[in-house]
Amino acid sequence: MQEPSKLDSKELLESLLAKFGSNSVGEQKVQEMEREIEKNMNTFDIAERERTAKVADDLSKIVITA
Amino acid sequence: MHFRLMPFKDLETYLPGALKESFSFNDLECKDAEKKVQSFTSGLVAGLWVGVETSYVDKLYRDAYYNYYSSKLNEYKRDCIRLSFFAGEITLDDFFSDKSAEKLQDLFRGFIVIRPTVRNVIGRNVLHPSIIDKTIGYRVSIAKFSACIYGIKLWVEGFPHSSQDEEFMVCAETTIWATMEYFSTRYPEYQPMLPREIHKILATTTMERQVPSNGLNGLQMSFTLKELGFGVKIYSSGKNSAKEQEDLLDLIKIYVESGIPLMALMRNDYGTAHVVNVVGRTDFVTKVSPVPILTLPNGGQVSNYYNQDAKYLLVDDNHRAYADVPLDNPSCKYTGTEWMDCKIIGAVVPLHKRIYMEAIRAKKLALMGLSQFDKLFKLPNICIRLLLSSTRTFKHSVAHNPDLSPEHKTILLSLNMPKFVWIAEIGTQDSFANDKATGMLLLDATEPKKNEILAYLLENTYIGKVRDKVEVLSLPLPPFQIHQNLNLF
Repeated sequence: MQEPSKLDSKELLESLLAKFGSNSVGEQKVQEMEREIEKNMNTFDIAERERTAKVADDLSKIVITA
Repeated sequence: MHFRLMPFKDLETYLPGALKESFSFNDLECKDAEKKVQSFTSGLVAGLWVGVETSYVDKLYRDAYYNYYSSKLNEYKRDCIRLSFFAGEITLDDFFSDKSAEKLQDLFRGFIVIRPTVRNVIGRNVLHPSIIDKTIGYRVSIAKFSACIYGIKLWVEGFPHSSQDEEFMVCAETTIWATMEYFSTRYPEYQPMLPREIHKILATTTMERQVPSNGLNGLQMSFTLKELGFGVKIYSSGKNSAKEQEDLLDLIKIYVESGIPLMALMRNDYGTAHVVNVVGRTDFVTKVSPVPILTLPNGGQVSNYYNQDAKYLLVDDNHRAYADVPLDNPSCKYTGTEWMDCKIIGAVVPLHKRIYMEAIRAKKLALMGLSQFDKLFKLPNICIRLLLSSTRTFKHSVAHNPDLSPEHKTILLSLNMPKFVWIAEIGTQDSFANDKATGMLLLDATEPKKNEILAYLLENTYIGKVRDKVEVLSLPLPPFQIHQNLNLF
């Protein structure tokens, strides 16, 4: 394999891909992983909205004087 | 002005005369002031020299003087006394040449202003953390402050502090002032803010007089910082259950590790409510607790890096800066019964306005990412260390990391990244004990809804964009030095 130029990061990346980019996990599996994360985070976001709505009320009750 | 140098041990005998002459204090007031100065300067390293400067014009005290003290019947002096600290013997000759000025800079450890406010004389001060006599490392968020001492401009790194005067400013104003001093010194987008200006910001929303100060509530503090340009995020411990308390302290630890000094609100059942800046922590004294916070699909367990014992460093306007306390007992330095059993029940976090994803969501997303990754490549038992960083600092740290390969550096430095990233470093109990990680996830801190994991570097595999296309690379990753946003002293 030809040595990459030491002057261009694009060439370095291409050389890296050629050398290390043979992993058996394909793009489809990565996309499935991202979809699964998105599904779970949606549920989390709904619960979190309810919780954070109460925070302003909590802090408004604490008068700092000490 | 009058400037006199002396060994620190001689200050005790010199100060009463200076207080009487400069502030016209009576004997009782003098004794009280001496006690305050002694208490504030106890626990400093040996061998210090101190410069005592009278007729010092302090911008913070003058703000209180012109807007409050000068309108009283009793006379309050306009000028202050400033103590400057040096880590070794110096003479006045050292102030007269370039070469010896370098020596002064090497030895300079900060300053304390003493103001003529009876009972609360400790004014604005910045002390270098190395001035504290300690047996453990302190990791602190610091900024670089200048001070002109006897004509020589000197610099000191530290976190700004002042005690409250209990009249014009109490702890709420003091913590906002300290926050703005810190951020405005470090970043050009913020401005320093004097207490009168803080009052002005709140004037239209406050229903009664602001001076003498009766304190502020948590929302007013948050509002002030929002008006001053921050993307403030507020947290509370809700109904104060053990789980809610633990979650709040975990968040505080994440932000502190990220180098974001925040305001922690504490309260007890005896009517005491107080606020402090949390600016760093001591070294950990135990390893990461193996108690898991998540079990992965393939059975591996994830523990939390922040479940290690350390004290956290407070800038508390009733004590000297960098008071080290356990977060679950933040008032332990107080002796009065009215301070017993205080718990941290809220936090006001001054985030940059371009940080859209906050810590709770970032933690959840990182754990979710690990779970999904485990379905592709089985993960062993691991610990997670989550912290926020600007991309500039992160890439600088990648470029200088002695353990990362040129291949990893090429990929990470070429990656298109937002202004801020959440870094989820992965390691083991042992690797983290040596400040090393074995993997990391990078999350886009500018995406509050989209689940943007920019890169996975785990189990000798890289998943992430390379030249704008998601790629999976088999890339050996040795343990590497963790990213640090705090400065070690």
